[in-house]
Amino acid sequence: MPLQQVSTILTEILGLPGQRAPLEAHMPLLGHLPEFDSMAVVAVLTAIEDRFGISIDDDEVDATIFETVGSLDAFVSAKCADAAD
Amino acid sequence: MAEELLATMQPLFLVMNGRRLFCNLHCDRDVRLRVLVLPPFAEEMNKCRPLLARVARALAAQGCACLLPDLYGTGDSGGAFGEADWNVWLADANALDAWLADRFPDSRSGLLAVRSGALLLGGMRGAAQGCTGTRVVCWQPVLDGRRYLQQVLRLRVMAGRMTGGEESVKSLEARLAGGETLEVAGYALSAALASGLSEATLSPASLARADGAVLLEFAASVLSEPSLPVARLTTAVREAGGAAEARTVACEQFWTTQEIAVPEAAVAATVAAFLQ
Repeated sequence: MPLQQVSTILTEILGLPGQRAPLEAHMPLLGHLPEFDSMAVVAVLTAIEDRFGISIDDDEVDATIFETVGSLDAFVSAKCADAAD
Repeated sequence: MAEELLATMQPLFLVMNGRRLFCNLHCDRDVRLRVLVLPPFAEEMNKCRPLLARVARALAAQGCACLLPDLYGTGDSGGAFGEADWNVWLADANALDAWLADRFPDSRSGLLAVRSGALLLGGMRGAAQGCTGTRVVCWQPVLDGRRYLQQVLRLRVMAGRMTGGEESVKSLEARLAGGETLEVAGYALSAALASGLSEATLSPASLARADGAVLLEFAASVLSEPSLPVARLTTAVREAGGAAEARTVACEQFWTTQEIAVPEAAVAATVAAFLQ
């Protein structure tokens, strides 16, 4: 299921120590976590592309995708659904 | 530790196809398996270097010969990175493969494809032979050359945005297609290298001819399932009559971490993948 995998990717890249349980969907990301800088954005996009075998265009990426864990997961789920068609 | 290093390591300058290539050969006595490493791209090779040296020593201690080359335009080999060309890298990989077979004729053949090295694997040896008779191990394989190139270009786009730039991945791709060399993260990426990389693939049919293929993926928090592209590839290889297995290893993603990592778990998993 995407949420578990998106959560794991975020935990890995953001280096959230002691994080074992999946991240909550409502957890805010961009603008709230200091670790979530532009390099983290690049790393997260790359990890998502590699894990799910999808390509994310520049023009699909805006700040709203990274508002929360849940918004990122929704974006990923939609992309995977598109790719499956 | 130093003695172990000196006992097995031979630095070599080999001339392949008229190009001077620096390689490290790690071997002891009684070589039963020869392994050619197909390196990752640009900065990823710098990050993998210490781990690859460690893995090569560990393989040497187990009766393997491991050849670690710097491809043309990289490391201590001849040429500048801007002169590197995907077809040159393929031709030289084939020549190194043949050199290693000549040097250790009574050994079985192995290939360790690191990251985009999997795309080099896909282009080696020609369609007829492919991976026939070779134990193949891949580290976090890059399976889509075009997507990987776009990820590399994204680094430049993001760096540019920090200083108010307006570049996009599409505009950079267009400039490469027009023959321009672009600087990305300190490397001069030529149009020829970019186009070769973006067209490279690893076919399930080729991998199905291998003497077993093990695809290793690495993450600190282990996901019990492989990535979707790796899962699809192993399925396709099996459907083509081959033996392929995906394994996940719990360790840092060493090709991308800020601090250089030499995870023992990666060493152990690689040795096991070759010698099981």
